[in-house]
Amino acid sequence: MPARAPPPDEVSTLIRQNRELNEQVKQLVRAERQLYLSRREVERQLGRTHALNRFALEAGGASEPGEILRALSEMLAGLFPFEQGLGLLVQGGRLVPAAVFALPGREGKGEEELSGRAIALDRAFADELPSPRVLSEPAARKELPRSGPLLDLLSHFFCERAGCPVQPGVVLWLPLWRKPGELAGLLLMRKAKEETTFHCELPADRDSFLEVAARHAAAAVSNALLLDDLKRSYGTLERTQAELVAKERLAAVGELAAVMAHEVRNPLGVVFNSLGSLRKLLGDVRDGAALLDMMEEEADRLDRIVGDLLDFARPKPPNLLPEALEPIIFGAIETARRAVPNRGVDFQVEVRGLGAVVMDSRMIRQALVNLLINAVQALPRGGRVRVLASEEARGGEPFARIEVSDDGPGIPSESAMRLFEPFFTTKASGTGLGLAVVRRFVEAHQGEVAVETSPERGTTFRVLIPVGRG
Amino acid sequence: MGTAVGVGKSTHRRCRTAGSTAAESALAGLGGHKPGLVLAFATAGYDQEELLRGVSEVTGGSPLAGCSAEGVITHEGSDEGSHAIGVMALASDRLTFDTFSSGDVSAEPRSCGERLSEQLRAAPAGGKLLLLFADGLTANCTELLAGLTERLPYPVAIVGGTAGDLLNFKRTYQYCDGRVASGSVSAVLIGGEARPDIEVSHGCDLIGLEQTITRAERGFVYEIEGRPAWAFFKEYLESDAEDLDALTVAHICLAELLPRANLDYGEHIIRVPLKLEKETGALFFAGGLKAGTRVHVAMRRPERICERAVASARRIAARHPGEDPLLVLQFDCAGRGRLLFGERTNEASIQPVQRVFGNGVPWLGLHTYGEIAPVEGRAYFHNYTLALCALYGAGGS
Repeated sequence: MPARAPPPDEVSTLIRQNRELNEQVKQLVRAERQLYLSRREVERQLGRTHALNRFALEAGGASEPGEILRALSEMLAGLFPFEQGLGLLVQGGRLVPAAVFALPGREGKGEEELSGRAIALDRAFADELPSPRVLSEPAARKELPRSGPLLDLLSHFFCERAGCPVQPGVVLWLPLWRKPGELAGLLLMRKAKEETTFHCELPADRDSFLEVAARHAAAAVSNALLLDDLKRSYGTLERTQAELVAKERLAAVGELAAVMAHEVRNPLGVVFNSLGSLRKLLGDVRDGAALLDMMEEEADRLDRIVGDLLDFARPKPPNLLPEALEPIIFGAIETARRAVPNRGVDFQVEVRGLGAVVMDSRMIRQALVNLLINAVQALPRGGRVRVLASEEARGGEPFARIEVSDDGPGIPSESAMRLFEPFFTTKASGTGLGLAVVRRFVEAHQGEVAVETSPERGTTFRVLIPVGRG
Repeated sequence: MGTAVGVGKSTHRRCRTAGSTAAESALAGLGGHKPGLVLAFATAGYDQEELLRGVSEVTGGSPLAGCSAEGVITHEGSDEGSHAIGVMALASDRLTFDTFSSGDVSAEPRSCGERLSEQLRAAPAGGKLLLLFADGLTANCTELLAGLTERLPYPVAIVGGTAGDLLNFKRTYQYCDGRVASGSVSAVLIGGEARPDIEVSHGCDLIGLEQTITRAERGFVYEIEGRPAWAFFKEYLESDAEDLDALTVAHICLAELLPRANLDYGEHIIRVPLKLEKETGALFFAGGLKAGTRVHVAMRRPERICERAVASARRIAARHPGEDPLLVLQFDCAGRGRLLFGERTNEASIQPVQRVFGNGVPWLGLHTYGEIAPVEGRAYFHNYTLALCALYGAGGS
């Protein structure tokens, strides 16, 4: 039996309901599309947030501003189609290149080309760029009229390469503002061509994400610079503290030395006078004269020790006068010869093209005597002591360089490190003040003294003092 | 020697370096043998001519086929960046390779297919698998396949995809024996002891009432249910949508009833519009819909896409127990990659499929603007699908 046709009213109701359902389906599809677009945007923003967090962590742990700029470039190249980056820091009113970044195949001239390419920071240019801009290179030349030198710098880094034709690209100008009016740096990110892909679009001009990233970077760069300043301040503080302690010690030693000098030298004066009187009284009595010689020698030694102590602990300001160095060297050699019995030591002196040197000749002579005595004492079986004086330039200034070398067995490294410390000695009868006095006198001339020693080549003390002609 | 296959990839930004680097990596898998075939898929950020020069520098005069892609797929995953190239090199004394090409697929798709068919007839007999890489923007691939299959000299499995251009929809490129062309078809016939196994899957659901295409011509659909096609589509989009962008293309599509349904594939074949003719409101479908065709609107379902892709890979593997394929080629719609899954593309849709065959199987694929694969023995042009082709040797490799 054939199915009964539905009544016409029912058919029209069904058709109407069907149409209504179809309209509802369309609405659902539109809603799903909105949902899809929203989800896509949320994923995009999440991706950016994750990238920013990773960058913040990396930048927070970086101690070099260049590292921070490289990390920022890498993050931006991961999110946007940029291929090259150049990070600049503001230093002393200039924009100084501090980091380069490039994807494989887009490399420029590299880190080694960074130095010597600083350009003056044009304040007006900084004012032109309050927020991130994404501009083609021709557009940048129009809209940022002062951007020319920076575009030229980019070309220098990334375009002038054999086989790499220069193509106008798109540049992200990302100013790193520490706070309004205070620029910490500038990051330029470049893409060779203007075409982009669907999945990796250029950021919008004045993109707020870029502003946040720039603020992070500026803060991290500032922190890194502050940390660097802090480290340097700590270093200075440590040195100052050490100097202060040394000075206090020296002052105490100086007081002691003054008292000791007074208490020892007065009796010594009496001893010397008495010795003189005894010589006259005893006349030619041989044994007596020998005993007197011995007493005088020991009294002399005591006097020298007191003298060394005073030189070290209460040095007088140098009396600077221009003098020739050569006679001072020969005088010092003669004193050293007398001070140490001759053990077959051969002295060689060479003075090369050195005119008058502004110095306290007493101090320099005493310093040389001390060095020469040390050198002779290092040659118990004889040998050669060489004195070489010449002129050398340092930082554009002329310096007198005096080297005292022996061909002895050298100094053990553990001793060499402490040679200039006061009261440090390896000799049974030494006071440990000879080399400390050398350093004190040389430093009083704004000079420096150093030692090189090895078992094969002996020991060389090198003294540098400014010639001071000007 | 049997068959050796190597795959290489590069993302280097310099075109020639990228081409040569990827080719060198691919050749490293051939044990010093000269390749009998080189397949290359590359994204459109490269100067394609310069890129192929880089590949040819390394592969010499070996036959080269392939196309530009929306993305490149290897065991490293899917890469839809502006600069990525994947190269597969094959050397074999058991397989044969012949390359062909045919131009003018845009204006005369059926003739183009017929010319390919004639070239097949002229080639040595015994072809088992025909790979096709066609222009992704201008080719009416249904007509192309009709012209090709009407007079095939012998049955041959047909699989392939259409070229992409990073979803810019401007121009795609085909690699025809080392030359770069547009508006063309590049083809490779693989013969000898080859046993291809192909599966195709989509993950779309039909929605709403069945509709009829009321006016269509040369791939352009002018009217659906008597209304301009674009106006019809806009009812499912925002009313102020002005152009057919990638996000729209990825959102809704049409489903056409298959003459013979397949249990795994389903009853409908998916059709996606690629171009909007703004003056007329007509939409271009590379699937070539005709007037009178009854269609449904369809929407993709991400979970279903993943499930069906893995299921199709498992079906292939199940048909070859204990056997590894010589290689796998993956033709995956551009709408199923980053556009749908975002940063999760690899973990969601690529790696699960690759895991079915294991990491040791040479793998090369691309994100296409359309896929070509058989359903119930007949080659169709598809959209929104994964066409997976595993090539097995004689009795296993």
